[in-house]
Amino acid sequence: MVETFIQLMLGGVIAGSVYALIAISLVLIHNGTGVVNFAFGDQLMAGVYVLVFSQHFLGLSLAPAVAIAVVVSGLFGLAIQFLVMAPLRNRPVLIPIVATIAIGAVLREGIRAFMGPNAWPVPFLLSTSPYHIGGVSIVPSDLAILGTSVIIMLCLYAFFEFTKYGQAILAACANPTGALIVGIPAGATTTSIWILSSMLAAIAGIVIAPLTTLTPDIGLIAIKGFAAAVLGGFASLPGAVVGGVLLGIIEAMAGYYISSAMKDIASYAVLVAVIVFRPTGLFNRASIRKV
Amino acid sequence: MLELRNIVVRFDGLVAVNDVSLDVKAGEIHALIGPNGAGKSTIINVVTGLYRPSEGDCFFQNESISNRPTHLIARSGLTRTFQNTELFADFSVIENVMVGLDHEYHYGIVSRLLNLPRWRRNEKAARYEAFELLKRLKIEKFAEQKAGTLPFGLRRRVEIVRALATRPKLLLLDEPAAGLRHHEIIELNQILVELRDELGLAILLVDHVMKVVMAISNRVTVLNFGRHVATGSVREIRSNPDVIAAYLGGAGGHA
Amino acid sequence: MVTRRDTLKIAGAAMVLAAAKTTYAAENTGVTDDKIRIGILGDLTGFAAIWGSGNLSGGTMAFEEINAAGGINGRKLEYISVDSESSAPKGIAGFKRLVDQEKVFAIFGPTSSAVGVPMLRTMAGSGVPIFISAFSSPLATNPPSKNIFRSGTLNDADQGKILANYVTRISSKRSIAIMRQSDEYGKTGAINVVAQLKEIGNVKFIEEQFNASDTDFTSQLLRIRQSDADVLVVYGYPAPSAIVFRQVKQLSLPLQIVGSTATTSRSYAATVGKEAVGARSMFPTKYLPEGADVEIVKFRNAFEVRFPDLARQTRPEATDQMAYHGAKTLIEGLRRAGRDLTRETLIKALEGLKNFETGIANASTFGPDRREGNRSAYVVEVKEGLGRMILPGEYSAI
Ligand SMILES: Nc1ncnc2c1ncn2[C@@H]1O[C@H](COP(=O)(O)OP(=O)(O)OP(=O)(O)O)[C@@H](O)[C@H]1O
Ligand SMILES: [Mg+2]
Repeated sequence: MVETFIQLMLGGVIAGSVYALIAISLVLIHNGTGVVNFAFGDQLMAGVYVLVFSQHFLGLSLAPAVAIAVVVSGLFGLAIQFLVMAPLRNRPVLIPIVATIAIGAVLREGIRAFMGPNAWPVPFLLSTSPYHIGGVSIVPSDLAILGTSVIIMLCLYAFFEFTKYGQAILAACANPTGALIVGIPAGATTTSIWILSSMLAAIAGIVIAPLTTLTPDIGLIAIKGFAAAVLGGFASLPGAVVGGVLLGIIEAMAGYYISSAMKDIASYAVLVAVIVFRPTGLFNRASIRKV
Repeated sequence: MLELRNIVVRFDGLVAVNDVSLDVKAGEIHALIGPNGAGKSTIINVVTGLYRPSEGDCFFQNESISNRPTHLIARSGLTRTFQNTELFADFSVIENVMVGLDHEYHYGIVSRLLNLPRWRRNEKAARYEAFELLKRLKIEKFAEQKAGTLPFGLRRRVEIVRALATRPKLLLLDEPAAGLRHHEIIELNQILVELRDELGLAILLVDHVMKVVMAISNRVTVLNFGRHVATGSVREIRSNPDVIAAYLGGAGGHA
Repeated sequence: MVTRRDTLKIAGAAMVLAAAKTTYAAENTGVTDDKIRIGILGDLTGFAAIWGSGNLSGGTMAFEEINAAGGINGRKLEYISVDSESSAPKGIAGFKRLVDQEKVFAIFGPTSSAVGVPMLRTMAGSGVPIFISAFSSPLATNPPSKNIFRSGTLNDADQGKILANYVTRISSKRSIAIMRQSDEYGKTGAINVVAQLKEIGNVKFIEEQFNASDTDFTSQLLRIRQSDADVLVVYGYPAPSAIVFRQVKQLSLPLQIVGSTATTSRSYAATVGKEAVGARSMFPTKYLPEGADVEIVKFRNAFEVRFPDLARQTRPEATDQMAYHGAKTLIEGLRRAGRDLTRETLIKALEGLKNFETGIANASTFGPDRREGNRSAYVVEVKEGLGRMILPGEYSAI
């Protein structure tokens, strides 16, 4: 049935847009600093807690609370760079990676202790009441998730493609030595990447938290972001986006047309197949620029 | 213009550069030659701030740059190419050059998104200037290709253009002629001489290819085992017995 | 005739009891003239912290209250809390520490199946009275170990049975859909529901799975739409369950939702939103923590004063409530054991508890071969405005 297919597509693309948002940040950090950031899910979670804290306990309205959450998260990224990554700069890459695992655990348990293990409701931006168009139900709040993700991704695209800073970051990621030699402070771009991706963590969290509700374990969703990033080759930003959306669609289609018991297996089978047969990712065409 | 005073570089025990002094004058092509492992690349790395000297000091336009970060050395008008090229592989050739130009042209995302005239003017001017530089090195027809897909010889040239884009006063070239064929060498010589004579650039040229070194250098410095052997005109160097000994008895160059 | 198999069974049961016997040398370890040492073991950090922190707060409150009231038979309770960090090895280490180093008399905990189940042999073998209020694996009490008791909470097997009976009753088409988490938690839950549905017979059912980190359930729900099910059982963690509840309404599926006890936190309805209205869930007692029952109000007020930080997080929750009830039940056992307190007399006293009421949770009943205090449940429904109400009717697994 066509409606069923469209409904599945819609669900898949919306879930996928969130995976994409997460995958982008993971790829950005990996390519810019060589570190796989296992704290990302927890940074995402912490960002939303800052929002909830600002709203419930400081009495702020949504917009300033979002601003505070994003800024605090960015500062946290700065702190990661200066207090953890910079001192570990010359150590084998496994050590900073393990450090991110530790950072994540500290964030998660710290927040669990401070804000409690229970779920916090996070209000939706738009209504959760669906419209029915030709047998397909469309939920405004879901569209808000999709829309916000798309807008964020477009902003990132514009930033990297059209601004001096964006180009400098791309250049430093592509070749730090080459960047230094044309006057780009590659060390500073590493810092910018930690700040930028940490801000993205908060934004991604704020986008999905109304849907998933907020608990200290909401960062689990980063696993999907990792899968999406690998699908996209863990190298290019557009690859991460395509990987995310594709993962969402595969899950939805496999869940319906095969079986929901096979859904995760099918997604991970695709993932393993990609790793084995196309280790550079499905979409690493020459025309797509790496970060 | 560039002055090295008693530079020593040690790598745990190994002395790669041992008490070398050297000066490059404004407007000259100064060649730095020596057998493999003599310490030539190491000196370029020290000058550009990628390595720090263990002893000695380095001056550019009479200011010490021994402790200056690499990107600031680059911004003060001193840049280089690499023996193995360090391009932005997934950028197109012209984008590589434009990254080099970037601190000359300021434009922000807002003006770009609003398609403001200032941004368009700047973007156009930057593209034009990058293209002119590519023409100078005769590689304009590769402007839209990915840098990483080009053959090695062309990548070298792109790197020279990218270096030029930063408007240097002194250019350090690490083996630009390695692997080039005869006619390409002639072309390179011509280009380097033009850069010196038309743009007034000083060039420190490291190379084993004597068809380049001997044809265009104003002066030549010879290193061996990290030590300074001789400095002088091409003719003086050719007849210097120490130099001949270094090349014959040394680790074996391509000379 | 006694078969070889029977012999093995008997031998096995005897071994458990014998193992318990052998360590009874120190029968009143942790008991002095004026003190009884109790260990509180639970997950205070990690994914299962919600239950561990409830165990600690509810337990602490009950112990403090009895101490303030003069103690038990002239002795005050002294308690030591250990964090098992949601990890089985940490749980075993914590248990050994409490028993060997802290020399406690009895233990209140552990608090999650993930930690508790791997510890069962260690606990049974130690002979130390163990009192559980939080975790729900049926293995804790079946087969029964002499020294391990549980009260308040509803075990997964009983819950599955009660859920299956209930949904069959309310399904006019006798057709049930089950959405369950793909991990151990959802699997155990679904197995018990399905087993009972088969037992009842003449009921159709469809089972779909989801991952705890999923955010979209369109595919599962569209499959369910193809069946003629009119009741949906949701067996998963609160976060994914909340999205399922919401999406059922958004896809306009004509299903009565019945969630597991995981969907009964006080803020749960608010996390789902208005789509939660009408949804039902299993609840292990007829007293809601936010309710107006006399003992509950007393408990809630005292809790909010004692733990203002937790009150800020919409506590007390059912976990705090179950722990408080459990601790009070343990205290009653200690009281009945009398001045001659030994592990043996405590166990005997606990076994003698019949329909012990606290007004906080379902009455606890134990016996010589019964270690599960509570075997019945209620159904809670979300009302217009997202308030909750216990529906009339107690459902028993026996
Ligand atoms: N980073 C480093 N760590 C350790 N040793 C180094 C390092 N860089 C260079 N060396 C050593 O210093 C010596 C000089 O090397 P350098 O690269 O400067 O020689 P070169 O003159 O450029 O030789 P070639 O003609 O082969 O390029 C060599 O023995 C080299 O192995
Ligand atoms: Mg070299």
